[in-house]
Amino acid sequence: MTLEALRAIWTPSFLTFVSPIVAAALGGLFGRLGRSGQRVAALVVLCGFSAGAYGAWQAPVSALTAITAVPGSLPPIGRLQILVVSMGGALISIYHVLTKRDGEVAVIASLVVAATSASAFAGDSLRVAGAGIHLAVLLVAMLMATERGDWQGGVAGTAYLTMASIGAITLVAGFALADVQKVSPGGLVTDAFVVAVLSTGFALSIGIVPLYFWVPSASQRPGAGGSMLALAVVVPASLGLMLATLTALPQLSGPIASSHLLTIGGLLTAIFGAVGTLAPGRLRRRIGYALMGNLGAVLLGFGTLTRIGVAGALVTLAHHCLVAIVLIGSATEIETPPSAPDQALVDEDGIESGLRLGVRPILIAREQGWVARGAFVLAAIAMSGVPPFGGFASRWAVMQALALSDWRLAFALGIASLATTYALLVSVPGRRNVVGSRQSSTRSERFLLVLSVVACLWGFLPGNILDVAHSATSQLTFLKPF
Amino acid sequence: MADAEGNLGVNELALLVMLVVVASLLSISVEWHVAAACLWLVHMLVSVWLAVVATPELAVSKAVTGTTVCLLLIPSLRAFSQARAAVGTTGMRRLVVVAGTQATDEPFMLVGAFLAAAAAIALSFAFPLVEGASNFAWYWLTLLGLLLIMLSRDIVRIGLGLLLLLNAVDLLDTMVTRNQGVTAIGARSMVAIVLALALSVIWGRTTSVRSRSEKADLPSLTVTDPMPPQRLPPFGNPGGDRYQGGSR
Repeated sequence: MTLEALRAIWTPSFLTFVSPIVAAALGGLFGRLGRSGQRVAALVVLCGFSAGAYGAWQAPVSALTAITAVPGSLPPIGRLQILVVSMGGALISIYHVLTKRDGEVAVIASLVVAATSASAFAGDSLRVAGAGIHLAVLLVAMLMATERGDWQGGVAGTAYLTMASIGAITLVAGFALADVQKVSPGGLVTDAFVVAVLSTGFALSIGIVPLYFWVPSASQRPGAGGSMLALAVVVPASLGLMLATLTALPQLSGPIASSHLLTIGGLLTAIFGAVGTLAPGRLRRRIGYALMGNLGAVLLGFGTLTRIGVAGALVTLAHHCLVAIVLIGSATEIETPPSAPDQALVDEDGIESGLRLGVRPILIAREQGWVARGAFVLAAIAMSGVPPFGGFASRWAVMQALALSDWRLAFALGIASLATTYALLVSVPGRRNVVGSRQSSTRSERFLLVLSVVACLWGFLPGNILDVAHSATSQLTFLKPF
Repeated sequence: MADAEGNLGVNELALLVMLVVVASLLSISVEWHVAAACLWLVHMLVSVWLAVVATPELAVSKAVTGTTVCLLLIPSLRAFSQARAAVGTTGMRRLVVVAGTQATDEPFMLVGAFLAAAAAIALSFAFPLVEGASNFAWYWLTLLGLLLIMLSRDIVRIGLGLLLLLNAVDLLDTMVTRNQGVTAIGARSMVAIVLALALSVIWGRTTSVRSRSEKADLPSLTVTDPMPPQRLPPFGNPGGDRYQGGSR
């Protein structure tokens, strides 16, 4: 390869692919060198994320174009997608390092970010984009299966791998059928049929009612890293692929608008998520339902097919990423037995004594002071969309777009959001279930608290954020111009 | 190749017959040797099929991918098979549950395979999405893959079903878009290889966790185990829930 070719490849956009993968390799190498090595690995991975996000923001054209001469570009929506997944991956890696847990979370997170970035870069090449999302799903499933030392991770990993893989494979079939429809319009394959196949694929990949089966298990059973990556990184990237699909196949927006498919799916998901959160269950399982309900708001925003609705949905999606990390992280901190320095306060005997008293194991929570609980409560409130807290910035735009089409949709979404928040607030294990106590908060809990405060303050920055999202959505040709 | 009246040539007919036989064997196979060999043969037959109806580059790519997939799966298939073999010697109840009752599965899956073949023939005549005999090939692989995923009770067969499904959609995609770029072909091959890697990791992990659970007499549940162990406390599974969030 000549020097000129190297220079052509070494564009900012190339950083987006190469830097996370190199960071993952180096992170994996350093991660095996003890605690100090893990810190270096985390630093390298964070640098990789930063370089990737910088490359995505600076690159006007994909490096794939230069390398393979296939059509490909990075639209503004793709940049936002890469920014969100990079932010999510970085936050998950930082949290993982702060918890001092073993595992390959940072390395896998880096590879997942690279795969989802490749998906965003693929642009019109939907098959490559779908393959990127599928790769991310497979990596996360592997992490789920191996992150914890017991059987639960294997169950969650298998369920997630099976359902999300079927979804990704269905998407590829849908893209092929769309090509068949394009070649022979009026033949056996109609637009409505393609929409049905693609809807099934996206519903399985994202976890939309009624094909949501993997979501509660993926939220509850695996370690925190696997859950966070699945729900806070891969799901937003899959929704980005949905927008890319509608951009590349604008003829599908007609059947979608006439059948109200996205609106019905979003409404069902929001309501079912609220009901699932209200039902008694383990804390992280209820969080899975709550996050699913939050995605219902995103789908409702998409379903309006208006610029303001989609812009609001995009901001909601970024906020969803942040809130998902805080909720899963703080719930894990609440449910996790104490680390080594706290063994004197709560040990295995303490837990066993709790079991003998008839306390359910999942409710054996440390008294983690106010930090983890505070982070959880703030994140739950931020997700509600009640002014002036976090979701207000994004939900307001979605509500406005919904109200323009049918005010009852906005009303139902508001009720579902409030019910979800109420259910989350009452689901935190109470004092009576606490075995032992602990006075100090860990660094990871303080980190989550900071993130939850940011999630709450999200609502005070509506203008700038919405402007960025709105200018990005203005280039989506299938949307109505308001 | 098919002639102008739509009749199959000898090459395509022979390939289809072999594909049906091998995929049926894969769906009912118990021995890991047979399963691995059948999986490799399915990939090779699809590869030859692509060489006949598409381009040699696609055929080579499929052959390399299939070989890599099988090489990745063989160690975990063997480990799972050894775990099954332990059932006969030690009579461990939970492994029986995990491995499934093979005696009833085999005829059930065989009937399912016949039904899938009949459905594939009907669909390929009623809804021919691509040209010629490729319709039957991708319908057949799709239905068999879905059948394995939906009806199987052990995770090995679910994984094999996923690989069959991926092959089927790959075949459809190739038949629809003959001139695909290097990136698209590479991405699909990468997905197949990483899927095999993920299945291998999950199978291996499940086997090792189960072995540890048996030694420590801890509860061992898998996706195929519908009932909790009898000796658990009435409120759940303390062994599993105690370690939320990974080891510290």
